[in-house]
Amino acid sequence: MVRKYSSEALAILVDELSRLPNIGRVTAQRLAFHILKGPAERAFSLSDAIRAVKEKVRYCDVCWNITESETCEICHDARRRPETICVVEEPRDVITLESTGEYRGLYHVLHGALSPLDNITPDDIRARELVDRMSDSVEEVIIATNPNIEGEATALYLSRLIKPLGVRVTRLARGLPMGGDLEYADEVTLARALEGRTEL
Amino acid sequence: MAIRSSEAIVLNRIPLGDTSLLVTVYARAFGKVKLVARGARRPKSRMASSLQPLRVITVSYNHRENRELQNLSKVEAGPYFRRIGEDLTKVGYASAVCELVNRLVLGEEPGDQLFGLIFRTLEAIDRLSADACEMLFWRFQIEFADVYGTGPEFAACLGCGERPEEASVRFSPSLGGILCRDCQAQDGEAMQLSLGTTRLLSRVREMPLEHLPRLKPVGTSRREIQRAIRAFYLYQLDDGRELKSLKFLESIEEDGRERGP
Repeated sequence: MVRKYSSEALAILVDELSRLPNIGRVTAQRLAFHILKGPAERAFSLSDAIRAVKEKVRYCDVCWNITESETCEICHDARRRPETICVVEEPRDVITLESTGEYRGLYHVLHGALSPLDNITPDDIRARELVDRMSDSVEEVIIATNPNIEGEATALYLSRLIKPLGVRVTRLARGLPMGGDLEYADEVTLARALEGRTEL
Repeated sequence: MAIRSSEAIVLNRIPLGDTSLLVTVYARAFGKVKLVARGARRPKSRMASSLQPLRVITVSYNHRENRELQNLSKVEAGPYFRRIGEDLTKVGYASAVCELVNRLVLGEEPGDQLFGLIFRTLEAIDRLSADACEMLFWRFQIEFADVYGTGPEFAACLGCGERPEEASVRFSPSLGGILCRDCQAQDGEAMQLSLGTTRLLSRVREMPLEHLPRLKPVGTSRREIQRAIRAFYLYQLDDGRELKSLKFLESIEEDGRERGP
């Protein structure tokens, strides 16, 4: 494979890029030539950013969100309400929920969801760490795992762990998206929306 | 290229690219089919909720000969086993049904009989109590093998055809049935099974599904059945790997035991 290119450095770059998700060899080659043709500063800046992310970024000791210090900004923020913890599957879900500007509590990132078909068990996610966070000050745990079979299984498991501790466990509502048309909603979503209807 | 349409059960799905899904279904008319659902992970896609494992759907796709992956063009939602999603044990056993089919069925085949079996099993897991799931899964495994004519024999000795009278016999996973004392040399690795357990297994095979919870096998019988059926299926699976869903169930049970009642 390396012999295909007249430069070994280029061959290594193509090889490394093709290891990224959804990047085949053709795309990897295109990206490599793009980097090669572009200004040197931009290429160095990319390489510095990759190095920095691996050297500096770590997980928050409390909520397992991404951070560059021992605890993340959210856990550190005294204005956040510590009595509510929102449980999400991945750090990117924190970003999504934060973008709403509606939630003022803390988070807990599981780094996955239970999956019988992939044998992802409670030991593979940060579930025990969530239980360890349950103190007298925690009043509610909002489970915001994805509304699919893995997310539902995780929600069931977590509620089984947390409810006996006397903490209120809630699940994000499921229903119709804003701006959507009723006629385009699928049957399951519509059924859930009917079930979770609220009084006006 | 012909448009095909069939009722199907979703066995598994994995992300494909940024917005699509690769969905494996067992279709009543065509057996196991792998479908590419383009755009199914986009926020406004109507397909996403129907393409979850354990869902019953009607799929339409353009069939191309000699292609492993077919392009899914339309999905309609069918019956929904809602109570399965409300219990971890039910999720685990229902997943095990789908996983076993996905691993043992190689590709397209006339699927009416197996489709009916999968549907009936999921429907029973949904309807009956979680305690019955293990027996329902034993029954499914026996009937699954029966569909392909390789069902294990529990009533008569595979060697001489006689009904054994002794207190215990041997079960041979590789031969697929029991061996009496006189014939047990046919498989030196056959495992011991009490005669009571073989009778229980025959009842598991024959009883109406809704009566299975009455059997309640415990202690030695339960362990013998677990061991025999597991060995029988590990022999059928080419790679000899345990089902992931069963490992998942074990870890959930273990977790529950650690935490106490």
